[in-house]
Amino acid sequence: MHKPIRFLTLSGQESLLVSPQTNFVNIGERTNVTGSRKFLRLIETGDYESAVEIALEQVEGGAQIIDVNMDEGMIDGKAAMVKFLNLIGAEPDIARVPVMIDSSKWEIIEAGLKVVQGKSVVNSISLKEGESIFIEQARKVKLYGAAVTVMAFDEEGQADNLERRIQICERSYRILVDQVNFPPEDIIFDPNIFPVATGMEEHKTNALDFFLATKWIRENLPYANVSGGVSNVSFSFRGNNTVREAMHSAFLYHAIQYGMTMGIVNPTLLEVYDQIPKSLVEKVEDVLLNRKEDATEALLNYAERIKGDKKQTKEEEKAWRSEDLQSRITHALVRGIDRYIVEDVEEARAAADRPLHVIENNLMQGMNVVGDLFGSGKMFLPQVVKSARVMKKAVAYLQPFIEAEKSGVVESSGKILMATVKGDVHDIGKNIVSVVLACNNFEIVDLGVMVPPEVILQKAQEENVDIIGLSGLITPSLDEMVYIAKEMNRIGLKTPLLIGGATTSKAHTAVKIAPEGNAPIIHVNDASRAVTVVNNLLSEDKNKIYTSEIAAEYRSFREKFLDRTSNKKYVDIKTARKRKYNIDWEGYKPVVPDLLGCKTIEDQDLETLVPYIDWSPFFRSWDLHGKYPNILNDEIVGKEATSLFIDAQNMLRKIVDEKWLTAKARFGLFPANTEDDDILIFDPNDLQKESCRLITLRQQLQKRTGQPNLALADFIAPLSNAVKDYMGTFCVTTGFGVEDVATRFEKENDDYNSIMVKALADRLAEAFAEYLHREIRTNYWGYAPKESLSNEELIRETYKGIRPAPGYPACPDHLEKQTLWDLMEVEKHIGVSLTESYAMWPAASVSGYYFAHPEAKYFGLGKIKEDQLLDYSKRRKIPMEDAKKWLSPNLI
Amino acid sequence: MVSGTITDKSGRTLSGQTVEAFAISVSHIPLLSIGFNCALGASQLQPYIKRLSKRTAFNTSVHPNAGLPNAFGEYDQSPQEIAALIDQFLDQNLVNIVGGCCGTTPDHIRLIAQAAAKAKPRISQIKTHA
Repeated sequence: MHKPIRFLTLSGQESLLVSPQTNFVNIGERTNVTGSRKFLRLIETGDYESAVEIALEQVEGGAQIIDVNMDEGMIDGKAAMVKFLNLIGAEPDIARVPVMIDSSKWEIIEAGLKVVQGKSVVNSISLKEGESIFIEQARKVKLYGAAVTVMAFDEEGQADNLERRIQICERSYRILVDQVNFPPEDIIFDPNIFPVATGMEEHKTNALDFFLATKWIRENLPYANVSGGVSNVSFSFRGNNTVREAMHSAFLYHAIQYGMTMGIVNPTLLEVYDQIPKSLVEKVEDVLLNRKEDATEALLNYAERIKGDKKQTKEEEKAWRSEDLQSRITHALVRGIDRYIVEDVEEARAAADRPLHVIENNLMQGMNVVGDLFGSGKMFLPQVVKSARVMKKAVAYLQPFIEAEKSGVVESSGKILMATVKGDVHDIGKNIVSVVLACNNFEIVDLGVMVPPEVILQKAQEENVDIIGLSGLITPSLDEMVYIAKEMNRIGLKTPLLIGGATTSKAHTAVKIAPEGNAPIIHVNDASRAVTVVNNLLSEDKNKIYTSEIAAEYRSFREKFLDRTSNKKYVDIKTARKRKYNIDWEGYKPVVPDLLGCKTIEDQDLETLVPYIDWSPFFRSWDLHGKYPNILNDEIVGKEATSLFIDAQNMLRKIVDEKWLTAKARFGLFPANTEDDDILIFDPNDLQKESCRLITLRQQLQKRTGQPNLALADFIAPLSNAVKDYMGTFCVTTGFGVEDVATRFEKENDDYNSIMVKALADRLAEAFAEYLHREIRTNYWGYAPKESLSNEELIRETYKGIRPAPGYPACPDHLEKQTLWDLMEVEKHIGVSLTESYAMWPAASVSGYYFAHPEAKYFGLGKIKEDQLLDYSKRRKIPMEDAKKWLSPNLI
Repeated sequence: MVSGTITDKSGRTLSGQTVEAFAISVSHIPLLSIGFNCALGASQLQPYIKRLSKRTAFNTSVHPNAGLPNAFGEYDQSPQEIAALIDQFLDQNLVNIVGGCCGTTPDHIRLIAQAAAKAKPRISQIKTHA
């Protein structure tokens, strides 16, 4: 039988265990209107935003629980408590810790208990108003699942000596445990901390009585904890922070030894016990422990003397500047601080025999530390990119000296070619991988974006690279990669090939690319793995084993995959069309758009778009996985995510204020009806005139009875029906300006910010699409004029209607973009163009369709059969071969 | 019975709580069981169920999806695969109640039931409240 676990456990979004192994638990006290004038003022004036800031400061300052108190005659305590708790509940950086709901009014406590998420602490209940009320309140606390602070207070008043403290605590404990059946570990006693050194004889033993009561409770009332408001003890020294801080820390030092487990403490008013001057700590302890008759007098005299001494501001941040040279360089690289790197590198250069040695010795030593920390998961991608910035700056400084010496180049660990394939313009991932590899001493030959296969192969041979890395984001890029593997095989180039980018997958690499080549072909799904893969490939010992392992792994993956796909059954296109999604058009009256035809937004104000940003994908682009905002206090990546987020916010401010980017849009709303799976778009000025046909594709997977085979055309009324229906099309961009800014950063060797601006531009483009969609629904089309949704609801897409994009699961056919471009004359009006693979340029652009029917929904097309492919090639009026190429990812 | 959902690899519930915080927040109620369901497949859920099992005196439950959805939003895990994964939960004595969530079919449940029929229920290693 195991020993029962009976320790106090509390929770916010994270758990807090109070056990003998836990250190003293700090409770933050600044969010208390009775203890902080500033907080009171903020609550009185309704400035809750700043009030929440105070809670955040508390948690960041080390508070493990935060005490919230709204007991003030001039405010509605109940409403203020509920509002404030709800606000901090929505701030993950605060909500991770449990709350102490502090009030002398039961109704405020109960209101608070109803809104907190975790297991909180009630502060407090007592026998002040008799047993029956005490029992009733304790039962409710138990029902709400909170712990409770019990004051040493009874019908006769507050306990002010040792005997009364013991007597009241014991009586309270017995009632709680025996009558209420309250878990004893959830009881926290507050045996009253009163001021000492007040000059009154009866106050002399106040601290000592608290200590002894604490000891008695811990020895005699099993599992109960002891807490208290520490700043009370130094009440008579208000205004003299040096003495107060010394008193607080000496008090805590002793109280903890007597068994105090938690306390309300202001961490900024707390000196480190060991750092209190000897002369002061002695006088303070004489007072606390009542060791000398004249202890109070002695402390008062001492306090008088040091009054006015300003405490020196600690500049811990700069402490590392006084360390030795190598430590400074390593520190700068690990922490990504570029401020002093040139001066440190210059010092190293002056001391070194050759400038090259600074790179090979000093800098590489630091980068090795970075590499180890990254490899062991103690550093994260954005930090490594910052380290690279420092490294680049250092190397750039040394470059002229190295060239002057004409001593050749730095020996690299290997040469790697990186390219985004033909027709694709996306390079954030490729740049991140390049930076990470460069940090690990690999030489990078970066060919940029939209690189034709011939150029990749030619450069690979000319430069004699050790590895080729290919990247792409849109689906046609997958074919480009297959083609390059085939070409390499044909010309006998056996350089290992790395495949990466958002649409690539292990499945595609194993099934489609690897069988085409005769060199190792490996899918690298995130930047942090790139170094390991490259090291394995280039290590003479490991290469053979590693590549044969990968080959075997991909082979078995391929076999399993083929097995699995062959299990699925597909229906012919005729049957699939019969099983279309049937909307009751008789009972539907489409809303006529207020605007018909096309419209351009020349220069959308960026500020408006900011609230529409969905941040979770932003973190994903940096290989930090998790949902915003929870990711900011994630146990593993939280700190880095927060720091990245702050940098992003700062740059976003500049992007908006200094107008780095120009946001434009072109959109149109048109009469539309369907004919089979085609959507016919009509000229708004001449309803007989067909402007164009949108070609949609239909699911062919055999489904359960009653489940439809969807195509986007199902969401528009058929021509054969009398209903006049409508649909919309759009293209938004926030990409104009990105290139200039990114190039500027790259020139300054600042890859971090270069990647950052691209990632932010992508987020703004998506935000623009979200914003414009809302404008369409409520204004231009106006089919949902009264909609009011929060940003979270927008991100969750709880609105009516959809905006699928060509190239994505519901309509994987990229050729549709050409139709949209012609229909809206996109390039002519806003300058966004299409590459040969139909990627949009600039990259931070989004295009798609608007469907308004309330039953319209997103879906994935899945695989289609040869019969639909043939039908498609006829409708699209292109040869079967071309059709096959464009739809290849969706063919069985 | 209380069952929560861990939404992604951050290991948090939708309202942001860790496994432990979630368990602590509901443990004052005399529950039949506490567990997780949905969002993840059995193998992704396992570490969280392990953590939960270790710290609760209540019975534990797990209702995983039939794996993570593939690129087309479909669930690929076969009844045999999911039953094999459930076997691991049972072997390690992690759960008292098992079942399936999204993507599971009567066939999945049948094999899960067969796996469960052979196993002994978990006995919690800890005692909290009397």
